Amino acid sequence: MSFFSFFCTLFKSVTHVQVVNGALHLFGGYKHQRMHLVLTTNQEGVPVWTQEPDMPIKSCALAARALALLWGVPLVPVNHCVAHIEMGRLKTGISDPVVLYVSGGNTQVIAFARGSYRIFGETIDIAVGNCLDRFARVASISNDPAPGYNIELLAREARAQDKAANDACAAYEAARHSELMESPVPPEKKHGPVEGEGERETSPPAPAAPLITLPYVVKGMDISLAGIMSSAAAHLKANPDTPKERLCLALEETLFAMLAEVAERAAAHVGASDFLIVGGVGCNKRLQEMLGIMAAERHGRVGGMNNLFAVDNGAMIAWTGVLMYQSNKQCALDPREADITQRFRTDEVDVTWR
Amino acid sequence: MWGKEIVAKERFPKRYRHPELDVTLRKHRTRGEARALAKCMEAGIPVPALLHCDLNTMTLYMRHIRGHTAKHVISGCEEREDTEGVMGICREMGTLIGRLHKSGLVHGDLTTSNFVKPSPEHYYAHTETERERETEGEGETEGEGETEGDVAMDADTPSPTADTHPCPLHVIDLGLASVSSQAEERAVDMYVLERALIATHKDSESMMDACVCAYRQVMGDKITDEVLKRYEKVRGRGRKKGEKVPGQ
Repeated sequence: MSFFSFFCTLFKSVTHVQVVNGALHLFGGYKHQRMHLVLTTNQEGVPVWTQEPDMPIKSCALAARALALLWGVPLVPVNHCVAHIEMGRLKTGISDPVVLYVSGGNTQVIAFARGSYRIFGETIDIAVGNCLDRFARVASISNDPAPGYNIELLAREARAQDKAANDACAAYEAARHSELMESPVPPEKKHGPVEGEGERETSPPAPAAPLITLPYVVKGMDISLAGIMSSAAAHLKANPDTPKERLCLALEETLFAMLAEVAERAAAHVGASDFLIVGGVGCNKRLQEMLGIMAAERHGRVGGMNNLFAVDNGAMIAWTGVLMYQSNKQCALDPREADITQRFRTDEVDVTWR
Repeated sequence: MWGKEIVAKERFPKRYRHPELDVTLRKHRTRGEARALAKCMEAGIPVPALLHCDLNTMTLYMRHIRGHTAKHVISGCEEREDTEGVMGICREMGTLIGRLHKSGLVHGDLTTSNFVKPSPEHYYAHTETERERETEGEGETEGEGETEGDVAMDADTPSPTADTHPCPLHVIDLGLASVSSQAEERAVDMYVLERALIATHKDSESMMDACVCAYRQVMGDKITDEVLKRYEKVRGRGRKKGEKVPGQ
């Protein structure tokens, strides 16, 4: 495993065959003779800005082709999203989950049916991670370490404030209630201008601020997120004094409620009760909590993953490549004819290993 | 209730949602569904007749339709390899969607599970008892003093199409429905249907074609073309989509 993951991580950043060779010797002590498969995947990009958006993955594909030819090993094409799912199944041990794939570039609800991973629902415009990132930029929320994470922290703050306010209100009500029950004076009179009793009267604590309303758009099992993003931005523009954490809270609650709802619908549709969250946004604790509550209601469980394996990683490509190749040797491509595409749908992959 | 089989559809709170959001959504959907059902009944579109709507408990009371979902019927046909049966249901679905759109509604959640084919024996049993009641005298039902229910039941008696087609397909679950005549909303409706077909059925492409064909007959060429044009745009908006458009 680590063998492959090391190699695939390399692929993310290195494109020269010689460098790959050198690095193999240097860091892992691996010789290329021990290499069994060369794996290539879509969507994995080197974080380099180029004129041509396809350039990073094209260069990776080039390196993959070159290595496969050079070492005479099979070249296996791995679908990025399927790799996320397989890694999730491996790490959480949930065999047949409804998958919520939420990242900067994708928002899909996936379940296994009739030999492939079917997309039951997805965003009809922008991805959820994209929505969060763009909002962070508009609201000038820091990019360090990640915009989504900072939104999560702000939302958590707002949630804590709300909880404190609600608790204070509840405590006040309870105190008032017991006071009224014990008091021999009828309640109406207590409110009167009796100065003697005024000392125990305190003004009621402020209730929790209402949730900012953002458009909640669910169409069947598809969702639309672009409206939320622009509506949150417009709200901020119209009311610059709005605390950012209130908006972050509303954004998280609305977005994730939509995601949870479509996941629940998909689960009802296929009769599953377990859920798996993959992709970068899957690191969000609130999203995990929401799906957790829902799964518990359905007597299922939810597989959340730690940051290491929820985000893009080489190990998932490696693991899926192994699964694919072991179940079907025919899946290897001819390196001379192999090419790479960014338009590789999740449901186009023949799942031969399940 | 009123001697009919009824269904109570209660929207339960979802604990995972923010409580405020939860109440707003449930209220909005219950109210929306009630309005959409009423509108359908007005237009004579076969839906479960709405009898009562309780916004305190977020519950709708509707007539129960005994029968099978289109999903069930289609998979039955698929097993028997009865392509004509599948296409027949799809045409019916297309017609129904067309009529829905024509009356200014979009469904918002078109799947084959949201169409119900009443089983003939029950359907006839229903309508017959209803007719009996009508001939016996309406005093009986009116005696309970619920005019609302009576109006609803009248609307549920077979509409003009039901005469030509003995057992019309009913559309249910209008919780996500909205009032709109925009090509955009209609296109999204069709897109949702297509996605649902792909996800649940084998021969989704020709099924979609059959739907669009029937839809065209109801809506006319002009509007259908407009919707299809928009539909292409909606498809392109999703990530990594192909270029095929059904029915062309």
